[in-house]
Amino acid sequence: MQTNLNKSQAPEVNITKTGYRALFILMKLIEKPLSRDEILECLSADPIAKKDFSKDTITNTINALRLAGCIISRPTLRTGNKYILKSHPFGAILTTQQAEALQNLRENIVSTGDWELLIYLNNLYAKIARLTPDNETKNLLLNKHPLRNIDYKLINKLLFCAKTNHKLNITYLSPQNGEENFDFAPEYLTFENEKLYVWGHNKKHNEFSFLRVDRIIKINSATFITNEDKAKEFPKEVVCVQYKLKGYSAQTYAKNEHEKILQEYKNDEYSLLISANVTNKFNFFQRILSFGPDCLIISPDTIKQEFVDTLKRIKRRYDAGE
Amino acid sequence: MPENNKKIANAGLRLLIMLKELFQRPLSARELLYFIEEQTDNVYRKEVINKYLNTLKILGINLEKNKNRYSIKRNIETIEYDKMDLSLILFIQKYAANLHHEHLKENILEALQLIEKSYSPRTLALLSSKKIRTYLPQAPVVIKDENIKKFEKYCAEKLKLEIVYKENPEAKEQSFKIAPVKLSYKNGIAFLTGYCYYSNSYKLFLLENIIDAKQTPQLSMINSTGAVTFRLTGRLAHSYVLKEGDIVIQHETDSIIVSNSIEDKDLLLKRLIRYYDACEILYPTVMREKMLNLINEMENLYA
Repeated sequence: MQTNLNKSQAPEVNITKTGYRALFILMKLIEKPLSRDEILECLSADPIAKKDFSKDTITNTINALRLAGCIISRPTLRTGNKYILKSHPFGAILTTQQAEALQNLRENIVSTGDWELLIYLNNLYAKIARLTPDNETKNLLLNKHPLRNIDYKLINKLLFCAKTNHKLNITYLSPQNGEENFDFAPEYLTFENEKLYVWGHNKKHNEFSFLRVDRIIKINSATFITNEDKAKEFPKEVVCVQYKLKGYSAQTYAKNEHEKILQEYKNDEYSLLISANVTNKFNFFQRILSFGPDCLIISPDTIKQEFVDTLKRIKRRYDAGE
Repeated sequence: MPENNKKIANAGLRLLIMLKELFQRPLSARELLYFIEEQTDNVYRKEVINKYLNTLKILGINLEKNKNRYSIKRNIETIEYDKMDLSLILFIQKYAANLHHEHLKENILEALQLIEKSYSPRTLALLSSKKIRTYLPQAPVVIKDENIKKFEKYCAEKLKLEIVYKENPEAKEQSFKIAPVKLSYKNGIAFLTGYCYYSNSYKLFLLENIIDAKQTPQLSMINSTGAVTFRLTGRLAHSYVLKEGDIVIQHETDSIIVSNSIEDKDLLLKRLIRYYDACEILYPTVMREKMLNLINEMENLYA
């Protein structure tokens, strides 16, 4: 009777001390790797485990943890004689199918071009990756996205400088010339064909162009520049182009930030009339080319002619080819 | 129990295997007793289970009792989620709710339930102290997949499929015999990837443009697909990032030769034409001709 009373008053009396020890050590190893002596120290300081244990007790408990499915590395000199818990089976683990479903969602976001959402998703998935059952699934959540080689701090810096009118001196890994330094005044970022670009005035080529963010090695300096000085030093030519879309391209059309749909037609061959503010013709023609014959440039005539010349140039490659 | 000669803490092991099982499914005290007896090939008093449950409670394991069954609500190892993460989780929940793809929806929602089990105490405090709003993307992600359910079934059953397809609403109807491979979303629009037996290649079908689909009794098999080989020159050769299915088969001084056997051939043409004259299709001849036709067709629009 007395014993029962004691048990209800002090619930820690009615426990399995060996079990308590096993779980206690598991929790400590989840926090950080520990040597046998450090585990003994933690146990003797614990109000429930209290007493001093032998080193063999620790070994036996570690053996029990391993047998229950924990992967714990052997303490060696290289690891400072610490036990390292590499994985454990206690907790809710995502299945491969669930991780693939999350990846399916991410791929859809990639196709929308919303790179900000993609970055936030990547950060979340990096946390969730701890709940995966194996390295392959972990790798899927951690790395299978197009922004994997990009330093997010660099993106923040570029955005900040674009917002606050800063001219940068950057080191860029050019595909043809290797590393080179030049001045660049960033304006905005875009995400096209699974690559992140920063758009701005490139002093080296004296034009408004785009750079691949993953090729920017570092920002060497940032200098504030007034709007007036920017307009003088970095003139920007904007051409307003109108084009029509039909068929598959109209059905799957995804608007970019410099375009707007002027009109949607229900019973016309071309169902969309779009207006685009073009600052870089190379990039604009890339977009128009990818629509194939579903796209017709309406105006201006100069752009139409330049586009036809571009088509001729591509065709020559095939005429001259093997 | 242990088959080798290593000494182990047996009561510790029993508690651990019980804990592992409780993470998998809710169990009553009686079921837990049976489970432990089955695992250890031993008989125990029912009080032992109370002792084990007490031990878990004392160590802070969040046991929940529902209709006499115990379950564990929180992981031992928790994860810190910030306000943005929680706001994204709400976005994912809303996204999943809009899907007609049952399997995908189910897996995403189940994943979210598991993620919730990993919330740290600080995350829980954040949830209760602040109103978390659903993340709003730059443009709303509108899901268009109303007819996806039957294709979900077709993909799972792996039988050959005969489909009638229109490349776009104005195009002529075409027939294809395909092996359904997978369903995906691009910009919210549902697509079916199929292996086409006529062209021996993969093709991406816009689901809303499939006019008719019939399953055949034959099992679908995928043969090795024909590759398209192209040369990239100049800057592009140095900066090209390989796409899914791309293999570099030759490096030259100022060019690379790439082969791709996975991408939808029509979409591949549209991708390669973006590279201007820095890209030339080398093989097969039919794809070279298709590219020339594509350019001519575009040129004729301005003639």
